[in-house]
Amino acid sequence: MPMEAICPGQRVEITEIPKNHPLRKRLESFGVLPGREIVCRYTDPKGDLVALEILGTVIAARVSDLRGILVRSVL
Amino acid sequence: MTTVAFAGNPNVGKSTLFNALTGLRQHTGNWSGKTVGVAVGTLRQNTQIQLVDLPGTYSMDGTSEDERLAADYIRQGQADCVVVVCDGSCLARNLILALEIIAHSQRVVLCVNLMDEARGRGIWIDKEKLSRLTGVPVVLTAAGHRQGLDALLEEIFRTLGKPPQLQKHWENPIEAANEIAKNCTERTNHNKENWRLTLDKILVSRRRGVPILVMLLFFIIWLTIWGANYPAALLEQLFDGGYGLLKSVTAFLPWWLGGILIDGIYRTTTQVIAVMLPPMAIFFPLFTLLEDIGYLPRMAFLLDRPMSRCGGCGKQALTMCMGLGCNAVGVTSCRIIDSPRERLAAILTNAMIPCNGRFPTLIILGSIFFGNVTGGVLVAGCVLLGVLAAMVMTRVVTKTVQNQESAAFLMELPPIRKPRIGKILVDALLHRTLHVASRALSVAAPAGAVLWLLANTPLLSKLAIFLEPLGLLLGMNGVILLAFVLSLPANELLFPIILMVLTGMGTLYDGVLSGEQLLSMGWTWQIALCTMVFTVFHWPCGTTLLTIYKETGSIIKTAAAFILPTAVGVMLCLLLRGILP
Repeated sequence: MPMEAICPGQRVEITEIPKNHPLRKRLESFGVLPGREIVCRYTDPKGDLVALEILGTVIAARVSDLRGILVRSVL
Repeated sequence: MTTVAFAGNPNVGKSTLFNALTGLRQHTGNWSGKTVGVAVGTLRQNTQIQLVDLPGTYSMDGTSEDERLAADYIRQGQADCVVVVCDGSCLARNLILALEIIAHSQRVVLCVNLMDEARGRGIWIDKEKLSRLTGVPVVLTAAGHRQGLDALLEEIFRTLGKPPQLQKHWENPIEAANEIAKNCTERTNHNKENWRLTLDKILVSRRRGVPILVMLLFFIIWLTIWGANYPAALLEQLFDGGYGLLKSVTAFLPWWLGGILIDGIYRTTTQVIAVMLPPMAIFFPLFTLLEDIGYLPRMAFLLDRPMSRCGGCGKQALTMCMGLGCNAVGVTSCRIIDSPRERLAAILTNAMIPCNGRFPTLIILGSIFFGNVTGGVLVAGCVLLGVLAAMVMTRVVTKTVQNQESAAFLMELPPIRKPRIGKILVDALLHRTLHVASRALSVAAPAGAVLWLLANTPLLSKLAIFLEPLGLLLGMNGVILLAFVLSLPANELLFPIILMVLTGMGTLYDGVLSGEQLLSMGWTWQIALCTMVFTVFHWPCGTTLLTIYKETGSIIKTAAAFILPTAVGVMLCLLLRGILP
């Protein structure tokens, strides 16, 4: 499923980050790679920003900037 | 001289370590991006060793200016030894950069900091295993509590004594970092995080996030305004007593020398301190408290949507907060903004946020002409107006500068931390207050001498008469406009200059001002209101203009920074003059 569909409290695994994605390098520096699990902590009041926890760090990103990244839900 | 550089991710304690080892006072706080330039100091124990505090970077291929600065410094091998500082509570992420730096440097020490927090979260780190797997010496520290610093120094000296050698190289540092961290850390208790998560959810929740933000900011501004009046009055009385004493002690001096020293330098400097220090002694501790607990990035998180609607980003909210203290610092902090277009807009509009030099004028006029309560509301309104105008002008600037892309927004949200009250009081009251006082002395003292000389020639009154038509057009008068012009070196000088010119004798007014006294000098509440608006919206001070030129490298952009707030101020004053009775 697309990453922008992630909901607060949901744990997902990154399945694909397009090679030419504008956030690819930056996400890699945070350890975000295909196969890595992340947790959606919360969103901003309008749902435009999402706070994701990865490897003990929480990063905020715009939902619109995450377009193209695919994830799958982890139970 | 031997150079040791501190590198690492943002917000891991590099500056805290740097301060502890050098005795200097780099700005620290719980958000990424405080250190935006390279700070240099010498080790207290050995002044032949130079320590360099680099801005935080997430990788050697960072996108923002401060990250590139740090990466270039390391790549160029400018340091004899690099201390890579990591956050012990999220080692896997921090090790990514650490492994990249190890591959680029010949002498490295890995310093795993914030161990107090890691232990508090039930995280345990095997130092020896980490050292074996990374191939570099490892030290565990808690710099905020000064733990592990001796061991760190020992390891630095030991490493400097070794010959330089090529370090390990990893094909995939990201995977390697994760594997190493998994092998070296153990987590014993996952429930210790619950209070942070709960508080975090409240601070950024849909229903409560924005109301909490608005209430917090309003409370800080209101307390600054209300609380400043009494200590300001006390300081003025104290300095008045000093004035009388100095006048009698220096009676033997020639009139012009006594005038320059006492009426010029002493009066101006003490007036600046009396009006500036009390609001800052309240504002800075409260602001530092928000910084320390990690609220500022959450503020950027909440404000990203309205800021991006204006063509900016949430990080601009952080630079605006820095501008409340000092616009020059606010301009420098714009380096944390990745997009050149958004960064330019943030730089050009930062001066619309009233800095600590302008607060005293707003507070004095607000309380004298409108009373404490209404005056306080007006001052808060001026700050809000500044923020709104900055957002509108950000839109104008980003629409004008079309040839650059907007960058994606990605920002670390540091963990909510318990505030360190002692550090807040020392940092905010002692360090920042002393900084304010020393800046006042360095600017106000010579300015006071020059102003006294001008006031005792016909030049000042002639200039005021020359500016009278323009001043009246803007709802003020020539004296006030002249004061704005002469306070270009520092905004703190504005009110002392107004008083000096009004008295016409080259001395500052004796005693505490009242509305009646200003009214007798021709002031009206309409003049006070226009002056308050122009105080928020006029050209940046000399220091800020120089900083803008340094950051942009462009005379045209610096001129734009001069013109933009002034144009807004002129328009608003013309509007006010048109609609006020």
